[in-house]
Amino acid sequence: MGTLRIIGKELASVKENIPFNLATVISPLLFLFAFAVMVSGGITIPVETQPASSESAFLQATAEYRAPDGTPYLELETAPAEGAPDGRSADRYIVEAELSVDEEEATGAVVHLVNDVNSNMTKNYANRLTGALVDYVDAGRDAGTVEVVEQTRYEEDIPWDESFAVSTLVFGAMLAGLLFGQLSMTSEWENATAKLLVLSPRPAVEVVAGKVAAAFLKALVAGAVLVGVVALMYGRALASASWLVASLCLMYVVFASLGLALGIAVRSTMTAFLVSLVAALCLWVAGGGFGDLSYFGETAQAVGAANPATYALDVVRYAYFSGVADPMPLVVLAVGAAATLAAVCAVYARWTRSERAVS
Amino acid sequence: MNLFIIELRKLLALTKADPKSLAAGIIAPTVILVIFALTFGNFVALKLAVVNDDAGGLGAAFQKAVFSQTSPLSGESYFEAIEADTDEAQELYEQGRVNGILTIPEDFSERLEFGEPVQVLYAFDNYNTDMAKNLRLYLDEGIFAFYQEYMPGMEIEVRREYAVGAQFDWFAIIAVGVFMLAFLMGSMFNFLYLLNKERVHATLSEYRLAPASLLPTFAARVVVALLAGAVGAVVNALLVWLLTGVNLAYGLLAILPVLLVLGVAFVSFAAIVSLTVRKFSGAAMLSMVTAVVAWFLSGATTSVKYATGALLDVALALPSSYGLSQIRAAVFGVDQSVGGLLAVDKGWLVMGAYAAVLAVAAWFVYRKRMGGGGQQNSRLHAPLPCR
Repeated sequence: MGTLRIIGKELASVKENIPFNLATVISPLLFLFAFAVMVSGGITIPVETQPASSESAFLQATAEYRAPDGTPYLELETAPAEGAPDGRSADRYIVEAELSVDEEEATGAVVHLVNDVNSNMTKNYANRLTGALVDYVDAGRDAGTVEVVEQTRYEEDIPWDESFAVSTLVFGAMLAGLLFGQLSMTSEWENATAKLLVLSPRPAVEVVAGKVAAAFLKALVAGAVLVGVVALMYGRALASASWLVASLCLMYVVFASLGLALGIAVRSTMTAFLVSLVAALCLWVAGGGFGDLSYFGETAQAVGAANPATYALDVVRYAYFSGVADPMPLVVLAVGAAATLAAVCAVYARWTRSERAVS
Repeated sequence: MNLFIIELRKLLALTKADPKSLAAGIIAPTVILVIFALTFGNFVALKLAVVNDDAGGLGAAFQKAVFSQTSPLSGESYFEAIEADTDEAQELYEQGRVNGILTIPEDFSERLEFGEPVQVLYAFDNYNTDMAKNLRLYLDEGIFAFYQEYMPGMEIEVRREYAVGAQFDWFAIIAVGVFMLAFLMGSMFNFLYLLNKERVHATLSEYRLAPASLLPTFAARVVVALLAGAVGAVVNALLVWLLTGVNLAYGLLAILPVLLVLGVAFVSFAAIVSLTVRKFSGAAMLSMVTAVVAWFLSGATTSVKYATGALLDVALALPSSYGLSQIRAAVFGVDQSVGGLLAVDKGWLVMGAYAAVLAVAAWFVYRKRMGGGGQQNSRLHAPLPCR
């Protein structure tokens, strides 16, 4: 009964600070839109060519060089006849000697003119040129070619922006959990009611359960909005709604608990907000939200193993795109949620007994 | 002038008394920088389980070609081979410990020696088009190298030449962006934090009694915020130097005016949003989130050069895109104007216009909320209960 009252009080306090609660819902949406726009160009990148693609059979083939889903790897633009590329120019492929491929020989010369200081883009252009060359050679001869028979996990490659959007759900879950969790304590500090909590005869477990449950419910609403927007944007049917719900709910428990602890430690809503924003962003990047963890070094992977976002990303991706049903990430999240909840109970109980609580 | 100095002293004293307003501006971007260093500063080879069933020697040559190609990004191999039999490879793949499985069939050498095409089996996780693209194209790097060495009559020449004077790690490019973010976050947070602190202590109501214009107090707040941002940026610049070797001090004279103008724009934006909405904390939070989102859209991780459509329009409408391109140009000593899209004169015009318009708007909002102009914001001035 006591827990229910605390939940009721916490939910009623939403109207005390509607902008904060709205901002908690809107913030992940802003990130979702930003990231969706950022990768909306997909895997196609512009490249300049010399000569014009119409004058080179190889360049014509390069223009048609595509991923299996039909997305072109390159968008060819003819480079000016003279002059070095300027800052707007992409890298340039210069066909110095037209490629000729038959069963006996393959000849020709191509120059990749790099026009970006970013070595990642140099890699991207180099890879695409090599891929186009292999494709061209394979199309022109049989003898000695290596055909790659693909066995992909998904029938079609998952579009990059959609995969990004889905991973943003995890970012949203962390941010919402942290913010609603911290607000449940920082509002007590700011309303000068923290003392009442300390004097309360209710057991610490009851108070924490009420506060975490209320933050969980608010985060659930924020998550539902985010899931709804993703559904509207991409219209993909869920492969497993139960996995999605389970992973997000466990994330809300973990991060609402952590948020509550943060609110105890940091009395200012502003400071706690900044810590929450940065923590959610960093955990998301370090968990493989921005780029797959397998690209990164051992340290990043070790950090990833201790990061709840890593496991949540696995489960959420499965919930949307199917694949291998591995319950281990859910088990880890469940254990993490229980441990975090127990830890925050201990932190809260200790705080109520400390002198700092009434200072 | 006197009021400006008095207010400045008060705000500096407040900042000194509660360094959280500084620490947050320092710690938050530092954490972001470290996380990007851990991830985008440390690319490694993707792991592939390789099952070589070939009875001859060409399978091993093919395997060597695939696993010896190095990436211009990291200088590391694209792939690391985990040799396994079929069952082990499948188990590793299912456990997510490898990105894919490359199987070289038993008749690989035999078919090639008879001048026939061969097939290799490639199982991989295509959970997004970017990863799938990389896994396909990295394998093509190996296939092309194999063709060049073992395909009869293969004489296609590929050369790489450079129209730019240098190549930088991706992380170095991102890190310079984080430096700018550190300044903007530090400035905005200091402004918001001090204002909130005075709201909590109910001292804002005293501004109503001021017999003079509040403009000097507003200017003092902006100056202290910019100073706080500068402290965060200096710490961040040291970290960038430590982690990447990029010394931002070399471009200091070019960077400072850019930060100053951008800082005025972003702090003013934070002031407008946080003072317009009745509840301070939510609005302040939204203004900070907007700044981080704007940073991402300004070419923080990849140059605006590759932006198209809506992304390009948004990037060109943001002052931070111009500021970031000018800072990177100063630091790396290369043209970052994207062929005039982010030209320096255009950049100053956009950044200056944002700063001027937002500063004027912020001043009017500040005067209305804090001073005697128009309706008072009772919530902003109201003391908190039971203090």
